[in-house]
Amino acid sequence: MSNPLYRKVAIVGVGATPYYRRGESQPQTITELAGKAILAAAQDAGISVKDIDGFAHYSGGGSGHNNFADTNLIMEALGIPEIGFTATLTMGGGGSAASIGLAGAAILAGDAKYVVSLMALQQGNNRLGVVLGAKPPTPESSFVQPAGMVGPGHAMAIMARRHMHKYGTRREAFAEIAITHRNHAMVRPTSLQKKPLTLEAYMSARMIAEPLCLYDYCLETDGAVAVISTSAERARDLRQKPVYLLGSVHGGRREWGRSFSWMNMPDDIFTSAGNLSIARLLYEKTGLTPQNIDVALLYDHFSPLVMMQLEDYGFCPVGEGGPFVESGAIRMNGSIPVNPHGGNLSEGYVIGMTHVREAVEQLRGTAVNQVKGAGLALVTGGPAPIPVSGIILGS
Amino acid sequence: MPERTRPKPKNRFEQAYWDALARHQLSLQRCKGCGFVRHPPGEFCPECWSGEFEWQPMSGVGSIVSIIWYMKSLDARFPEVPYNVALVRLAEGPALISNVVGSAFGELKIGDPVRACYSDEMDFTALLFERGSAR
Ligand SMILES: [Zn+2]
Repeated sequence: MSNPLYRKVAIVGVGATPYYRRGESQPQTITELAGKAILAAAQDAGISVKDIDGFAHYSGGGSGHNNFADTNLIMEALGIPEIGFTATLTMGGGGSAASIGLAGAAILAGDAKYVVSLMALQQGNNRLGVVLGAKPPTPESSFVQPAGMVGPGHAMAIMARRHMHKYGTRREAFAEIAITHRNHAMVRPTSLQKKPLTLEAYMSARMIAEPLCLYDYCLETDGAVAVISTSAERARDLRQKPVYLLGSVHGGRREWGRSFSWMNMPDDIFTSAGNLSIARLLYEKTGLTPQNIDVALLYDHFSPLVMMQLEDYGFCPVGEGGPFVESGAIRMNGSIPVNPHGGNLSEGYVIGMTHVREAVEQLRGTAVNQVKGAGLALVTGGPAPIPVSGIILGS
Repeated sequence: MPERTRPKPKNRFEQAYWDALARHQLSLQRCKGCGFVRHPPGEFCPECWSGEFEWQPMSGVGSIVSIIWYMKSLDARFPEVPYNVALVRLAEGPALISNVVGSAFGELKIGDPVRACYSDEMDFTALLFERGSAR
């Protein structure tokens, strides 16, 4: 185990705006959403906003669209006097979890003391779910758009179908994932979807890209979540119980590559979530195993990918994710509770940062759906083009 | 009929791929160094790093790796549903996203043999597939 980050950095503050249905955060600006989340995170940590001196973004610092709050604009808006670090992980939502690792690297290097990781999302007319179809072709979409492929979730439906074919995975497994997330979200005040979801309702729901139906797709949300990290030493003097970073991995294998905008993965990778290599490195770096993890915050943009991540991270053998989920394993009383906040599927979708927020609440012991005695949490970034990422946090 | 929009090739390699389709020929880059067939088109052979290649006509035959069906139109350019989007793996190796045309919902399954066919659009040619073996 060689990991200089191990327990050297901690999350000390988390702040968020309310979550809004797509478009309903108007007339607030994106900087307003980001600013409110950062102010709340600083207050949570018990530091002044003027103490913030670093930014560790992912997804190129934005939501993949031109409307984003970059570091210079945030500094101007909030009067942050000086920073020593600002960087972003490349590509998209795959890096969400490891934005905490990027913050940790800056802190460990001595470049900054209080580093913000952030997502502020306002989809407006730029719906991420139909991003391939709604727009004129780009070079990246040219090989899929002429076939009428509309969104990333539909490419992932192709992967889910293959998983069903290879392993006998049933729609009941996807239903269990959707219903479990809904059950978790129903009691959480921040959730956008609190209506009960039954198996009957799932099975009779409108098909989007058969075999996936309406409930297999995440919500379309506006909102912002900010997380502040600092050194373990400084963390001990702050307001909250520190949540330590045990390990962070981002990257991925060439075979996964561009994932859903490419689809040339070899068959074993094609039916995975692209996180096999991330999981291996993360367990190596932390000396932990799946059995040590108390709660898993898995990026749930599309329900089958939750199942595939459970396989990638070793909570069940590859190919057995369907029966594993159907057994109730991801419920609050199951062997690995998944997304007690309701996730992207039912609470709200802020490109992965709600999962970091929930991990912190679980490890502080203040979560709405608290996993009793949760001491270790896995958080993953989105199964998406490289980088994909995962972190383990501990109390 | 769907209104398929003209793709936007980002370099001369992609341009050549679409130019071949316009001649109703599916051609992919075959490395002159090691023979590896690659897709999407690009600058280097990822196996031996050679930049030397030839455009090799493909057999056009392959099989369905996986397939989904749109039951509701989410793109105004594709108003008629259901339509499918399939991942087809060519006999030569690479896999392509396309439509398997001429078969109704429920008539296609993973593993079915398919062969290339071509659809001349307003200003480009789309690569499609139909169920069946080599002609
Ligand atoms: Zn070669």
